[in-house]
Amino acid sequence: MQTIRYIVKRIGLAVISLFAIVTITFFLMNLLPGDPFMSEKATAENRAILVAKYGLDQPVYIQYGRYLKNLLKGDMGTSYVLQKGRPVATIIFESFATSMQLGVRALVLAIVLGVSLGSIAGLRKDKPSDGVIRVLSSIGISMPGYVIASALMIVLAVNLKVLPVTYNKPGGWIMPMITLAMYPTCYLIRLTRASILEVMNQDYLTTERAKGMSEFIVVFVHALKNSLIPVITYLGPLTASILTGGFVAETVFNVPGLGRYFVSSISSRDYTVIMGVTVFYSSLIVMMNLLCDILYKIVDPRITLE
Amino acid sequence: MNGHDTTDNVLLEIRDLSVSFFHGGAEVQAVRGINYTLKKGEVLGIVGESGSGKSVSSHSILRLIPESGKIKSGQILFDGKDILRMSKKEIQDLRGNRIAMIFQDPMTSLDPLFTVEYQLNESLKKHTDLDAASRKKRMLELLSMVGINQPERRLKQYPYEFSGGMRQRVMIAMALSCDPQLLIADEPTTALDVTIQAQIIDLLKELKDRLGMAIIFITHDLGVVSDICDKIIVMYAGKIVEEGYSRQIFFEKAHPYTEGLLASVPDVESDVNEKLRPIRGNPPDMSCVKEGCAFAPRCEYAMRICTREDAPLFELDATHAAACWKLLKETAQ
Repeated sequence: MQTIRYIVKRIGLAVISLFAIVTITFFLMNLLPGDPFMSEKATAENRAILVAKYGLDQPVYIQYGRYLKNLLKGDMGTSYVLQKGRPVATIIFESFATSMQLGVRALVLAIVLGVSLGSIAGLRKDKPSDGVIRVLSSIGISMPGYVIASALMIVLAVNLKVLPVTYNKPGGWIMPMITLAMYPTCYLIRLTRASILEVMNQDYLTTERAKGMSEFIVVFVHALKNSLIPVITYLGPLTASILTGGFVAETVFNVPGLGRYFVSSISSRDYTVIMGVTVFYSSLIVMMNLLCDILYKIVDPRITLE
Repeated sequence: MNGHDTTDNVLLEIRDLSVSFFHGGAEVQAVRGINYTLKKGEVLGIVGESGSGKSVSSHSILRLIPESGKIKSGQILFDGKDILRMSKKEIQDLRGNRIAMIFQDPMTSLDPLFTVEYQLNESLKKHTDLDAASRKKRMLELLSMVGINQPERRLKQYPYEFSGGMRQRVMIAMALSCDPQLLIADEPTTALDVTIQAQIIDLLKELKDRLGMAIIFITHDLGVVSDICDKIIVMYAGKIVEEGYSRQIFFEKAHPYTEGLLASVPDVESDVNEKLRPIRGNPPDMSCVKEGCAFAPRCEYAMRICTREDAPLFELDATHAAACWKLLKETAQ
């Protein structure tokens, strides 16, 4: 009951923050010089007609009111530039499906590798395996995405020719997945390692040993569960960002995902797409954070959701 | 304690136990060759300041010392079998089953993410053949036994829902779940309020009378052990400096260190104007052990020999011994 009340309250708060995000984004976007039709090869007269047709000649607050009204009805409008005339909802839906396919794979890879390598490093502190994992994760965490993407492409696609360069070929998802998973994997390794190191010194593990529990149970039931609490906190924002797609990975490997629309909609002043992607991305982050808090509560009984 | 005991009554015998810790090449000698015997159903208090080796020596009985520690020599005979030579499986079968342990800080000694039921059930599942229903019954029985009301409801709760004293009761219930022959209580009341301390001591006393297990009670507070222990060992700098029956330690104390400890315990009957007498100085640094008696630099009776040669245990009578040179004359007669 308490949990349900908490969820309702959080959703209410989420609606307020979404409203704020929509408002700020809308007015900031209109402060940008230019309009969606600035690159049209048309006379000034025809452009004026286009601008008037979409109501962009009216005062900003009227445009804003109209956008909000439509948004509440579930209508995000149609694209002005990128895919002219197609509903923004369809564009997001399609490109998100692609981003999600890639994102889920990257997410699974990051969690599995990050948590297991982090645990190994933590449990084998100062042994050679810990050293190797620490060095590799430091490198991974400090390399920008485009360097990783280009390096992968040169080695795996150009020199060894084992993987295709673009996404639409068979196996084309592997390199973008690695690029996308690299940072979160390395971050999770460091997070898990630090967390394990802290938990391994806890008194309750001595209690477990004194009860005659095997080292396996001590480590994999008690230590691991306790050390995953900080990891769960990181999973919310991670999931949202990885699912919406990394702009770099999607651009370099030509993946038709949401990440690409993120930036291209802004540079082409495709107002409805900018707004649509913003609303979608913010909702996703808010939702993932809420899910994470609930998961947090399930793992750690001491947390009260209020 | 001195070979007068009939061997079939002996539960635990520690022979020449030495434990050291190694930190980057430096050796810290935590325990330096201690010997003692514990009979079945007997309560032994081990008293000393922090760093005296009382905890380390007791944790060694279950081989629970941290990784940086090493048991250098000695034997720990439990029911005639050397614990130090047991396999991993043998020692795990012993822990929580025939020898159980409770710890200093009940606030951190239970896993916060599991219910009390889960944590109690773990030991029962491991060490007994009981089925789920009997285990449940046993758990309820255990919680009632340690004075926890509404055991049905409490079993389902998590440690954070218990107060410190209640958590220590849970720890005791957990330790006693498989009817151990020996309970090692490592400062079980140090982290608790004074009133709760008394409750826990009373509980341990009552359970001891009812279940008849032997107890090793580790503490730095002589006041705490006075009415629960049959025998007391006083440790200083990794060695036993005095051992005997409780009344001998309290009324016939022979070692200056024991004297100092007793003088620093407040007494209700003493005059309000009488000041407590702390032992001056600090315990020695065990990473560079000097010649002679470790207590000599703090001892008001120190003689020349004390700084040159360590005193052996002098037997004052069959059950009482102390390691101090000033006893040489007395015992020689």
